[in-house]
Amino acid sequence: MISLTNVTKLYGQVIGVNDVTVNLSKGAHGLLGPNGAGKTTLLGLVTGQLRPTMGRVEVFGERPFGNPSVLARIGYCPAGDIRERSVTPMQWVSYLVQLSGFTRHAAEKRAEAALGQVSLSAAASRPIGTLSKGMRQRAKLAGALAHDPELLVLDEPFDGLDPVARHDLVSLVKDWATHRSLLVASHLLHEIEPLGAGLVVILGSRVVASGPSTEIRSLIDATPAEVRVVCDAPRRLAEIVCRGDDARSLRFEGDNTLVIGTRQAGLLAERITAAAVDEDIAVREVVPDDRSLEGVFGRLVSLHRGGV
Amino acid sequence: MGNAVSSDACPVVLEDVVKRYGTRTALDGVSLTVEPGITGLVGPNGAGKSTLVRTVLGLVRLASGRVRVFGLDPQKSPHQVRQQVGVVPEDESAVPGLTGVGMVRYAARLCGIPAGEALRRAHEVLDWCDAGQERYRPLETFSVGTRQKVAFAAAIVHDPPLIILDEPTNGLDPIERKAMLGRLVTLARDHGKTIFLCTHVLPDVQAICERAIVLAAGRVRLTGTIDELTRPALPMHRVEGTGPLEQLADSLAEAGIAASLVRTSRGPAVEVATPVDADTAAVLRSVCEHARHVGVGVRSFEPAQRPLEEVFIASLREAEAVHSPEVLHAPA
Amino acid sequence: MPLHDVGYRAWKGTRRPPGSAAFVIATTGIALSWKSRWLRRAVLFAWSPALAFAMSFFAFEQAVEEGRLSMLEVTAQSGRNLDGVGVLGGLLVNALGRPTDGEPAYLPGSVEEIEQTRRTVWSRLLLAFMRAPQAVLLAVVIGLVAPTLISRDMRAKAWLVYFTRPVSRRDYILGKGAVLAGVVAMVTLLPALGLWFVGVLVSPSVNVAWATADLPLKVLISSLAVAIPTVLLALAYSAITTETRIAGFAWFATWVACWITHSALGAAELMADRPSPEAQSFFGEPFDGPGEDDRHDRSRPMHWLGRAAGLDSSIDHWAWVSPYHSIGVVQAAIFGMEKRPQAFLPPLISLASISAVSLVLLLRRVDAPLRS
Repeated sequence: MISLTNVTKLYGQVIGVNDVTVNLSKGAHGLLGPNGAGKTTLLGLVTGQLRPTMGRVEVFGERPFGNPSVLARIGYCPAGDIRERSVTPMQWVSYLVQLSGFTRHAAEKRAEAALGQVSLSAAASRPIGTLSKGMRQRAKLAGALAHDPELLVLDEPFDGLDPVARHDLVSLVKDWATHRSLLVASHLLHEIEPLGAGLVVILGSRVVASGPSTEIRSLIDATPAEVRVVCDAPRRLAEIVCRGDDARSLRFEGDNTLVIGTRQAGLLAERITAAAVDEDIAVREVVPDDRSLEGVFGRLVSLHRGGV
Repeated sequence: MGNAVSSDACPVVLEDVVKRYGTRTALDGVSLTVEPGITGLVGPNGAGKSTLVRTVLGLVRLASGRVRVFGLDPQKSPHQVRQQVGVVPEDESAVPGLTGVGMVRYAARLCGIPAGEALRRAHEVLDWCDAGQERYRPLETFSVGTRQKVAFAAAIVHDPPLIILDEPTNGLDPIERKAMLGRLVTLARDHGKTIFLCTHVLPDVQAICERAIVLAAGRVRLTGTIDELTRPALPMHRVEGTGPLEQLADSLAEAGIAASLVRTSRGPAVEVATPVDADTAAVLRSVCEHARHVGVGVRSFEPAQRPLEEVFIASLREAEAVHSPEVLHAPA
Repeated sequence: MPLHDVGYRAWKGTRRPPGSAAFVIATTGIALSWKSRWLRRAVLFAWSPALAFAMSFFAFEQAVEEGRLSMLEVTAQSGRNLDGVGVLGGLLVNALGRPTDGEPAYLPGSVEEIEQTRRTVWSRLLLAFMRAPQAVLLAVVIGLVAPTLISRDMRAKAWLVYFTRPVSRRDYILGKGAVLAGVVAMVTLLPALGLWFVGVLVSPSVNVAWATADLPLKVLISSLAVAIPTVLLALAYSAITTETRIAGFAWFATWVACWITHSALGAAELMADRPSPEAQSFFGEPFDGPGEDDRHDRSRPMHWLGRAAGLDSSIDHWAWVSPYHSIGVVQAAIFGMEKRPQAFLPPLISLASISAVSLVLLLRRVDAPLRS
């Protein structure tokens, strides 16, 4: 469905994506990466807003750049908030649909249907400025899917949403994606994990990993990490931890802190919990180190770059 | 074909190379080979290291002798030779007005890489060298560490099989130094590159080099693998520990095992002879028995090596004393 | 394992042939120089004389089209400003009654004569343009760009960047020279070609382009004659020192000092000989001597313009002393205005020597630190 072959995008001297080759078949896909890694550039290339400096982009077998027939089959929901605050969702979405080439009448019908899909019918005639952030996101989403595209491309759709709103939106997107294709970009793994999509991880303008989200999750969990435990019997806990083989290193700090280096943070967590209960050790704090995406993948990437 | 690069030819071969600047002889009959892997070139200032590098690049005319780089004569085919070589010079060199990525791109284009691909490759190499967003700033604003990264990136951007570095860790903090050395090891080990490291910093040589060449006053004084160079005259192991080490030495000597107390930079230690045909495990067992007997806690037991510094200084002193053109090979 | 290999990768593409480094150095050098605001302003300003001269072309062609060519000189003599800037008028009045070397006087009747007049007037206008305002502006603009080109490189030890790579001295000098050649093109060649093109546009028919087709060629050769010695000299100064100020000063000082020397020697020669008819024409006074109508004062030709257009038939014996004057004489020879070998050979030899010495100096200096 989407295929990028040795695609490089340069903005003057600044690099957007560097020699990216990605093949995505129909279905749901997630694009994971920190800000500035090239996610928006990649989405721009896929949605025909950008032309690659080198390489080839093909969506549905054709180049999307300046190609209305392909663009009509893609729905794009960009990052950032809606700027027009005084129009209503109904007006805004129907305007977008008209831009796709529908007549005004048809556009309004579609807008109504789309707003119904995102459960925004009640608020459809209120100015956007009066809506909550979650509702604005839903309006944006309606704008993207109103013309019934085959591929929905979403850039940070869950940004700034509270957990409830995010949960609602996730189920909505999942629902919608059952018979269509989806490409969602985000910098937080836990946001796109629930979609059950295949993931492409982009870091520093390069694709560093790709695979099912479960594999990516285990890759992250398997990265060497440190867990700091504050308890009242650190040496006893150390003894228990040593019995297993999920700890790579142990270090005592002060009288009550045990720092455990591990490659299996999940298993270790279970054993600490079990120890706290069975051995009656009063555990006050369990603090994992920086598990941010940059931290994890940065460390993985540095292995390739001569790091230890 | 005379101009084709021979892939199985030795990276660098010098035979009796003599170079004079007026009355001063910079290289006085230098013969050496640089094999694939990491080779260190060690020597005091004025030994001829820079002249050697210039000779390899074909930048100077020789009084006599032969130089071959991958089978080519750098004087006759400078273009092809320099395509195969990447140099990180000691002195900061820059093209004023360029940004970091602009500099690496310029270097790539000067080596013949087409313009668009040069920029992409420049970014790729800068990524690998861990240069972040600073690459977009002008060269003049860089710290030493970043400058070295950019210079290194500019040297490897055209993927040369031979990389010559002159004092590459000069001015780097410990983390940067470790990273730079790590990159050199990766290039040599995983990508089959030949690294020729000219440096004063003996810990660097000890850390990553497989072979070393000692150059002084325009002549090669010593050449061999690090192992050969630092091997002591008689094979022995060093025992470090807590407690009365003197008594341990005496106790071992009484039992017929050649042992003596020595002072090292880490404190006193006992050196125990371990002849080639001896069973090292058995020796260790005896040492531990004796140690327990006299009350010594053994902390380490490992093969003794002469520090590279010692080897280096010794060879320089010999050079001053003897002034002979013989090359001393490390004892086999 | 879903992790991609983002480690070091080899590069196995095709490389450009040897010698392409010159192009790389040239394009990067031009891009870097063009960042300078002052250069951009100077280049823009350098086109302003072209506007003035364009008016002359326009006025001339208007006269041709309206059939009042024969009236043109009379109008000029009567003091009317023909083209708003006095260039054409000055040119025509200066040439009044002084056909040189078999060229017809400016009193054409037939079509062929119009053609011939056009060729003469256009040639003289182009020559004057390139020789006078543009040459001076060129010296200034090159003085802005050239000093930094090599001396900054030397200060920053850029030879380590260039000569450890497949770049030869020839590539380096060619590349840097191309930057300056670009400047020459922008200040001299392109405006002159533009003028010719304007002339073609405002002329009665397009066939004028074929009739005057040798003029663009002469403009090109003339630009080369300017470019080679000035570029080499400027680069040589830049290569001698690591201080850009010294290189710049040396450059301007050369032009000024040589000009002054030339004027002094010329004046001394004049005072030594008796004033000859040629000498009188040198000052551009009407042949009839002083005491003419006041109206002539208004149409008083510009001395420098007459000389620049090649109208003064005296031989400048001291031209070879000054690069500016040497270039002028050689350009006049290229345009066919100066046919006497004794007039243009000394300047030509002088320019060739400057070029040769500068080239030798350059070749020795650019990689000197590597050979020490």
